[in-house]
Amino acid sequence: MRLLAGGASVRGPAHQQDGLPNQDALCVSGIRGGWCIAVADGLGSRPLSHIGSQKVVQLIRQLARQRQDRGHGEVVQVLRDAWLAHFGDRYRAYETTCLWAWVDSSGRGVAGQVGDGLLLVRSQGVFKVLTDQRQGFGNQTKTLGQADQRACCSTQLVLSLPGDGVLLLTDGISDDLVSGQLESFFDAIYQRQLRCSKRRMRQWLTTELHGWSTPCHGDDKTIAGIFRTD
Amino acid sequence: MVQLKKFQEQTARPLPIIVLADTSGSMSVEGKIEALNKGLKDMITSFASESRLRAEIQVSVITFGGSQAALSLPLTPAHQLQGFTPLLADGMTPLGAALSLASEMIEDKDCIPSRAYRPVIVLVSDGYPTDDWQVPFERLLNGERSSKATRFAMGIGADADVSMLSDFTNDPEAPLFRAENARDIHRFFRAVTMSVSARSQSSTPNQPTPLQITGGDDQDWEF
Repeated sequence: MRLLAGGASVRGPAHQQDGLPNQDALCVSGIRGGWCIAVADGLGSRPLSHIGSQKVVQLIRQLARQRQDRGHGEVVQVLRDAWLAHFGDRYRAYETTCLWAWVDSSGRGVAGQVGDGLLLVRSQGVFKVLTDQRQGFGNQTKTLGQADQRACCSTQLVLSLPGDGVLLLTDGISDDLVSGQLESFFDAIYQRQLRCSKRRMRQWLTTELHGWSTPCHGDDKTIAGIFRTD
Repeated sequence: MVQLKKFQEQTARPLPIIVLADTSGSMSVEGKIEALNKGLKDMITSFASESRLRAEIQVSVITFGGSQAALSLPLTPAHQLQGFTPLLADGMTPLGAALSLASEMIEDKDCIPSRAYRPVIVLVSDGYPTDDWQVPFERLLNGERSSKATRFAMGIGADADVSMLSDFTNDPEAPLFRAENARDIHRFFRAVTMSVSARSQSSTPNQPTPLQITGGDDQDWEF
């Protein structure tokens, strides 16, 4: 069985215009024959959210490296506790969303999400949009620091067939995707991943994100995926 | 060549502005409806000429006068508006019906999609509502989506329902603005225009920007 992973993150035009850093964060890490991926979107209104998003993807990588057998629903609480313990009473300045997935060398693992963004999964050949449909408006989101069960979703992953995988997107991408085309979008990323190394995949994704075509788009954009290719 | 373009929306994210305008008979005196028309026209003209945007400003005008509320201007991208047909003042103050129209518009995801930025609702009135407005008022303030909108209000003259208008606003930095004359109405709409324009150019268009109403003029006259 072969598992491949890739990802990219670009600073959005609005932050380039204002001289602000990329508030998104990305992690793509190989772990004992499996992979861990994470994306996070620091809240634009919080001054240090780029540090909060970087921290949460580090914490996700640390969790994935631990050999503890956690259920998918337990991850968010462990993650939230660790993130809050790091920032303490100052956490509001660092607020962030996050999406995560990791699988072991057999293709088994977990995926989850807190806040905005999109979590797409094909598991045992069945494509699913894990993210709940948004009830409000764009950029109004729950954060890891404020998360309750209603703001979270998670699932067990079983990548048992070629083409199975998981794709994580921050809302700078997901809010501008045509809603009826999500499975085709997933397939397009998978097809490219089939013929790319991790480095080439990052270059291609970076080019695609810099060339984003939605008029007036401004957000930072981050994407990460794991796919089973045979 | 960008290969993922076919999966991307080809319209900008909307920033909806919904104006609830009192066109009851009392607005026809002392230049109030003329001032309201000029304020709306200038606002729409300003939005239509905006550049450096991070959102597409869309404008709707709901009037309440005569015997019913009316969708005077359906939600339309400002840059597509060719002009503004002046509003006429006549009859009663059916605010409740106008609030219901606004609720329906905001709760309709085909009209305002989830990728839209948080709408702005502007309520302008010079009198007391004459229909059953309390239930639609509560529905708008507490609706699943409409409760998330930013709400500004202006009371015109001494007869405005100050209590209702104050309850309508939800921005602590922009409490009810009380207009004493036509120039105040212009100042209010200028402030709304600047607030919305600032949001549309911001890297965080959902963050409210305060209404900064400029100082008065010694030559103002009172209603």
